[in-house]
Formats: sequence, structure tokens, C-alpha cells
Amino acid sequence: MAESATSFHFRGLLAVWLVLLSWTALGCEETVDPVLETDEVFSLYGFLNPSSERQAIRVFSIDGTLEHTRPEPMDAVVRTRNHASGEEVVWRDSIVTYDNRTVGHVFYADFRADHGTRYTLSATRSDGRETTVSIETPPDGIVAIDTILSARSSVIVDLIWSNVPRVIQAEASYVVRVPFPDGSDTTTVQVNIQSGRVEQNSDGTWRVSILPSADIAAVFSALQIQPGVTPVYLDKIIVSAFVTSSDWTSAAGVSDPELLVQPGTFSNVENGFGFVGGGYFDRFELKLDDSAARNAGFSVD
Amino acid sequence: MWISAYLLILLTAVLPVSAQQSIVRGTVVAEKDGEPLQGVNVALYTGESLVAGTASGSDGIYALADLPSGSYTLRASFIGFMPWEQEIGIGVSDRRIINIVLIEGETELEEVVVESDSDAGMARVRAGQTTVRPADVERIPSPDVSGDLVNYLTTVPGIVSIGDRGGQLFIRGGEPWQNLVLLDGMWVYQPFHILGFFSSFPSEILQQVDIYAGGYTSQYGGRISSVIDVKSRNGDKRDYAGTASVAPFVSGFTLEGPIADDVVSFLVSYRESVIDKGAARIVDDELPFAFDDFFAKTHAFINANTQLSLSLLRTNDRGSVFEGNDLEEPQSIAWENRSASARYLVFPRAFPIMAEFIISGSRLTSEQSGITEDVRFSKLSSVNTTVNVTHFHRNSEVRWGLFARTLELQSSLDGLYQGFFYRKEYATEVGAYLEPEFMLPFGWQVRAGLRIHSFPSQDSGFLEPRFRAVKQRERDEFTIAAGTFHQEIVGLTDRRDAAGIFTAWTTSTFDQGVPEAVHAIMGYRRALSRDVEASVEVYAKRLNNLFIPEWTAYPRFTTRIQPAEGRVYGADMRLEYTRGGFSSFLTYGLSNVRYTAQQDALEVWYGSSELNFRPPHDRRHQVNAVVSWDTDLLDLDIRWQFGSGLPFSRALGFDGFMIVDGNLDVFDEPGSRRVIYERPYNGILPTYHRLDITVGRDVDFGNGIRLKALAGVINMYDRQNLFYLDVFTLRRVDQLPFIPTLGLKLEYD
Repeated sequence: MAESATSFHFRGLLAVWLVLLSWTALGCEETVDPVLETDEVFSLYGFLNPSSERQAIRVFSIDGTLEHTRPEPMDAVVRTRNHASGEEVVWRDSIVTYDNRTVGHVFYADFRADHGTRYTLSATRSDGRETTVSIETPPDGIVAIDTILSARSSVIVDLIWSNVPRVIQAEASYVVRVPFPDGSDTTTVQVNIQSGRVEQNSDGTWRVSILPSADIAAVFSALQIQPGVTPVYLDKIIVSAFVTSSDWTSAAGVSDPELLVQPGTFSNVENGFGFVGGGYFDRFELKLDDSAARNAGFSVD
Repeated sequence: MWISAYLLILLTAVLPVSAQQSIVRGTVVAEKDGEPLQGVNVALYTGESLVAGTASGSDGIYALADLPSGSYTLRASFIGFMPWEQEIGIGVSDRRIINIVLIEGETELEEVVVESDSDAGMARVRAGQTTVRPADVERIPSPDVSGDLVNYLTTVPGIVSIGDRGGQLFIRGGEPWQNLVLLDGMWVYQPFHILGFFSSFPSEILQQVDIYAGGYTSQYGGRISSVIDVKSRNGDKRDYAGTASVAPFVSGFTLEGPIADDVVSFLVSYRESVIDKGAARIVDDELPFAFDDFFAKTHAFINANTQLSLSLLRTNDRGSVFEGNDLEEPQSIAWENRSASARYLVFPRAFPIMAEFIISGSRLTSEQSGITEDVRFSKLSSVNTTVNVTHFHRNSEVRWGLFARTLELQSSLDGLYQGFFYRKEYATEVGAYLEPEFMLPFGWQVRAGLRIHSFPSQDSGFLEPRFRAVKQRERDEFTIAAGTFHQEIVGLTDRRDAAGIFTAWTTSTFDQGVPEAVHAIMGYRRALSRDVEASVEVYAKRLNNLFIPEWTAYPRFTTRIQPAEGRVYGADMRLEYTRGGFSSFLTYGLSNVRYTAQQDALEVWYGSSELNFRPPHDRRHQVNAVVSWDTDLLDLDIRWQFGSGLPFSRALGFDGFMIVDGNLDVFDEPGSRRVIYERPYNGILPTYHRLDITVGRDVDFGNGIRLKALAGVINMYDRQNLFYLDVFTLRRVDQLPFIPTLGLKLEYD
């Protein structure tokens, strides 16, 4: 009797198994499509530079798999159109091999972008799909020294850039003379320090502040000489401000690559990703008088 | 307020200790090999009237306390053993030690009269706790002729395995680094082998395993997800015995026997993978995995009321899970566990208590390396000391204990974790717990515990209330469990998908505090008939102060982490049928795991300060069906498993990324490759299902020599289950295909 019951239960379970197996046999392989695909075509990076005779941008195609770019021509035609003059320029593709042995496509064109002009840059694939970006180049700026505050060990130089939409970074280059070890003569060296502080004034102008008295430590460090042992004479300071169009700003307001790497976080490109702006380095040279140079820590002849 | 109430209840429970009552206790062992028997029903009768009863614990120890003087019959019964009884006389304040030896034989189920929380019935599932015995493990089909604990674990609803490769278990929404795995009191930090069919726990060394998928008792702490408490056998104290096995995946042996008859025994087990010579040739595919494990134990009954055991575990794993792509090198991984413990057990004659002293040392060394990249490594060493004391009363007990741990953590991660290239830390954990067990009205048996868990190195400490309650009513059983849990030591893993194995251990460093979990479980079990039992549990977990890897569009390993909170809801169901040599069970697990990330950048990326998503181990549905039929001719074991697809992050495409500022020179700056994700974990991988069947036959050659032959197939209908999907190259790595397996095991006892 017990055996019979067991057999009955076993047959019942066997039937359940057969149902399960029949169900699973309906599909023994499922494919998975891990890439949703997108209508975006290219990612573009760079800026139109009114102070340069050559314009260049980096172009990445948006692919379905992650592979290094191959050294083959890119299916893209890049051109710019000057909205003011109507001039259209077709850019050339170049395949660049970088230090890390990767390959990339840089499109370039030999022309000087006009100040304060709107351009449309487009990258078009042979199937007609296109990525575009509208770029406003910044006007030519006007720069002047606002104040030079000089006290012992504290020298601050403020410069004002006017007639510019934005200044996003600034750096100071110190042109100094350093004597040879035997003291027979001096050599002139330029030390670049990214130390300028940028802020916008209430009247829309931009203030760039540099602190020679603070930067001198970096100068000594760059020259690998000890303060107070070898004299360093300051000839001039070159202040460079990177002037951009007004739309050159990220939603994050910061330049952390880990933050900005998220697609779309810092982008002005349509039907694609990346950022192409308009910008140039505007340079201004100044000399400190002997008193200010001494207060900043430099030697004076 | 509630602490005062708790102390009041505790006093009520402890006070009867002072009564001038007697106690009977001892150890229950099997006559055949002297192995302690857990779950034996031990009861004291006057005539046919029950006076007191209990079930033996994990070391075979039982105790009946607060007994009035008189003449009694002490009876013991256990399925598979002949009933035992002895007439005893108990005087006033008597302290009796009566060790019981049970002889194998047939017994009737009706003789089961007592059941405590340390034992359970057919399914043995109670409020997150599942008790597993070697026979349970043996009936799960495995490519090895011997069973392995991990194959049983993956049948438990609520336990998600990432598959054949990698050996990681996610228990009820928790992550692998949140699981506490103990072997004879030793902490084993990465116990599952790189090939998912195998763990450090072959069935030959198992005495009993208690799996707490949540709501565990105050005795356990320092982990916020689950506890797997493995207790090994002591070895045969009467005769020498052993096994030797060969199979396409592993070969190994066990040896056990008396060092001093009935007093001291030893048990040794060794297994080594032979995949390259066996399984890889069968499937004609590269299976780059190798592992071995070695376990040794000696156990002694020093006298009638003390036991001492020494255990040692050594495991090695190495292999390759990620086989590389155009941008990333193939990664090989290796890890080693080294653990040793000494466990001393005493029940003094003068007091109705049992005390357990454990000192153990554990070390895990892991490393991950590419072809040219530097090796990333992590090393975790700890010394653990624990004292567990049980006070026995007639129908209740009070447990308390002390613990102290010191840890040394080293890691080298190429600066990927909080900028550290090399990190060495020390940590300590100390604390105590108190957990009385008592009866409440309406038949509720309650354990209400309080654990004080302090992390002096973090200058923090926590009160962790724990609660477990069981009510039995004829064929029904209701269970409830709840508690809070904290974990100072955390594991960092690259969780771009669930297949990440390399784990770097460190102390939690977030300002918001130590990872914390709150568990709540309700269960119901019913014997539908003599042969059929059903159980269902619903559970919820709240996970605070978690951290998860930051999302990045850079296609690379990252251990930059962001804070997160987690919520887990689920239900586990089990239906079991057993009759004679036939047994089967069907389990279904429903789970819903949600993480809420709180990375600062989310506002910029997605427009909200938080992002709610399914983590990559959130398997929503899981089904396991197991059938085991033992006949005189053959033993047939069948298992079918199904799991719904796991979440993964689908990409829109791939491009490059550059920071554009005034210094950008596109002719000089190479930029980085980038993944264009839409949202994290917005895709679902295919479902997983597989059928395994094994057939075994025992041949008895006499003189205690038997040969067990096993033949079977893994993945019988050759389902192409996805193990790993390289989103970057669309390359998929599948789990094991159809594999025939054949094994032989020679047993001697």
C-alpha cells in the first residue's frame, strides 16, 4: 500500500517535471542586447580660437562597441559656416598617434576665427546623419591694470578685462633673470604658474588677481634654487586670461573630470556629445617697480 | 525604557537559578562512531507523565534543570536510532551527568515529543534560520561524487548565486561581504571556491549547518546580512574510516579515526580540483579555475563534562573570470584562506551552565592582477576570542557571552580607493551579549537578546536588540524574528556587475557611520500531512550607511564609493514532500532589493539628489525543485533551478571624453574612451535555468568497504546561461554548458 502511494506521488511529480521541462525547452537560449544605441553621431571637443591661424577639434564617432580608434579615415565631413560672412570652410581629417599609442581623429582648418562671431560647426556622416554645434567666439577684450597693492611680503596685482563675456582661467608667467653659478652673467627664464584668481565684477567686467608674493615660492621651486641664497630678478609678468563666449559653463560649475565625464553634463553639441566653444588666451605684460618686486621677494638690481 | 523592561524580564528568567533544584545533563553520541548527535529529544518522565524535555545542542549536549527530587525515567529518541531510556533517581540539589549513547536502528516518528528552537522538523526553517545536515547536502546533484554545502545553499530561496564561476552568494538582498561564515567558530572570509559548485565545506566534514538569512541571535555580530554557522564532525572515535574520490572536477580524500578510543579522534579532508585534466577536456573549453581545500580537526572528551577541539582550514583559489577586452587586460584572481581555532567546552558539575571558549585566527589574502598592471592585493587577518555561556532552567535558558576581535587590514589598490595606494589599518571589536529564552503566554517561546557591540578603533558602539519567537500548535508553527546589526569592516568590490570577485577589505570611513541593518521576519510552517510540509516567510531589511561604487562613464575598475541606503522586501516559500526513500522540495523566492544612491553628482547628472535603482544582485524570482529518490538499486537526484534576470547597466554607445579648457591641445591630448550610459542598471539580463541529474549506486564489498559510483549531467538541456556580459565589447561568457560527469568514491569504515 505504501509502495503504491509512493509510486503515485512519484508519477505526479514526474508529470510536474515534464511540464517544467517542456516549458524550459521552449527557449534554451536568450540573446541580450546590452547597447540601446542612440541617434547621436559624433562627440566633438575643442574651441574656435580667434588668436590662432589654425582651428582644430577632436572628433569621436559614437560606436556600438568600445574599441580603440583605428588609423582609418573617419566617415565624417566637418565644416564651419561663418554666420556673419556666410563663408564655409571644410576641415581636414588627420589621424594623430598620441604618446599613449592610441589613435585619434583631429579635424583642422587653417583660418583665423573672427572675434564676436557666430559659427556653426557640423560633422556629417555619409548617411546624412549630422552632429552640429553653434559657437559664439568672444570679442576682443580690453585689459588694464586696476590696482597693485604692495606691502612687505604681500603684493597683489589686479587686472580688469572688459568687453569680454567670460574669463574662465588665468595664469601668470614670471620672466626672471638668474645668475650663473660663477656670478659672471645671468640667464633669463620664464616660469608659468596657474595661479590667477578670476571673478566677475558687478559691472560685468572680469577681475584677474595675481599674487607675486605668493607665487615666488613656486618660482623658486621651479628653478630649484633656495630663497635667500641665489638672487632672482623679476623682469616682467605676463598675465594670460582665457576669454570665452558666455555659454562656456558647465552645469556643475566645476571642472572635476569625474563629474564632467557623464555624457551631457557639459555639452553644447546637438545630436551628439562634447563641447566646442569659442575662446582665446588674452595676454598682458606688466612690470613691477623695484619696491613691489622687493616686497614680493624678488631681488632688485 | 525598553532596556528596563528587558532587565525585568531577564531577572524573572534568571532568578529561578537560585532555587535549590537539581539538574541532569550530558552528551548524546552515536554508538557507531561516538559522533555527538544534535536535535535528539531528551525527556524526563514520572511514569508516562512528562516532567521536562529538551533537544540536544550542536555538541550533543543536553540539560534538564530545576528538577524536583524523585525517581524518573530519562528517555532519548532520534530518528534513525533506537529509543533509549534509563531509570534515574534525583536527590535535592543533585547535579547529574548522564551521557547517552544511541544505537542506530528504526524508530517511530510519533516518539518525537520535544522540540526546541535548536531543532526543527522536516523543512527545518524558522524565521530566517535553516538547519542543514549532511544528508540534505548529499541529495543535491553535484558534479562531484560527494556533496558540497554550496549546492544546498543555492537551493535556499533568498540566496542568489552569481553562477558557476566566481563563488559569491547574495543572501536576501545582502552582499557577499556582509555574510558571516563560521567553521567551528573560525571566521572564514571567502569560503566559496572560484567554481560555483564548490565551497570549503564538503559534506564529509559536516555535522550541521545553521543558515541565518536574517534575524540571527545575539551570539552573532559584526555582519549585517546573514550567518552561515558550520559545525564539523569530530571524527570516528571507535574505528578508522575514510573515503577517496575521483571526478572530473575534484578529487580528494577524507580520513578519520580514534587517537585514543572513545576519547580522542581526528578528521582530515583534502580536495584538489582536476578541472584542467577532467572537465575542461570533456567540454573542450578552457576552464581557467583551480582550487584546493584542506581541513583537519581533532576532538577530545577530556572527561565527562569537558570537550576540546582543534580545527584547521586552508583553502587556495586561483583563476580568471574576466578575460579582457580591447581596453582592459585579462584579470586573474587568487585568494587564500588560513584559519585555525581551539574550542573548549565545559559544563561544570556544580552549576547548571555550559561554557564555550573559542579562540581562533583567520587570514584572507586576495590578489588581482593583469598582464602588465601592478597587482592589487588585500590582506585581512584577525584574532577572535569568544566566550558563550548557557544557563539552563527547566523550560528555558539564558545565554550570555563576551567577545573581542583584533584585525589587521592591508590593501594596495593603485590609489583607486580614496587615493590610497597602500593602506594598513588596525581595528578592534569588543562587546557582550545577553539573551534569555523564556515562555510567554499563548505558547510563545521567546529569545530576547541585547548585544553591545563596540568598535573602539572607530570610537563607536551600538546596542543591538535581537528578538526571536516561536509558537508551535499541533501542525502549525509561527515564527518572528527581528534585530539590528552593524558592521565595521567592509568589502570593496567592483560592482559594475554582480560578477566582481576581488574584494578589498577596509574599515568603514564614511562620516555618516558604520553600515547598519534592521531585519524583520515573519514565518509560518504547517505540516499539511504526515509527508507534506509547507512554509512561508516574509521579510524586510532596511540597510543604512551602505556604500556602493560611484558611477563613472570611464570604462574602468573603480572603487570610488558613494553612500547609499537599501531596502529589501521578499518572501520565501517552501513545499516539501518526504516518504520513504523519496523526498522532494520546491522553493520559490520573491525578492525586491532597492538601493538609493546619494552621490553629490546625481543632481547634475539626473536632476535629483538621490537615485533609486535595482542593484545588480536583485534577482526578483527564484525557483528550485529538487527530487531525490533512493532505491535499493539506484539513488536518483534531480535539481532544476530558475532565476529571473539580474539588472545590468545598458549603454547607449561609446565615444570619447576630453576636458575642454584653454589648455586643451587636441593634437597632444589623447582623451579617454567613455561609456554613454543612460541610467544605472536600466537593463535586465536573460533568465537563468538549468537541470542537473545524477544517478548513484552503492556497491558493498563487505568488510566495511563500499564503492559509490555516480554518473550524471550538469545542464542537461544545454541552456546557455549568461554568466558575464562585457557591455563594452558585447562579448558574453556563459556558464557551464552540458557536462556529463562521472565519479567514483571508495568508502571504508
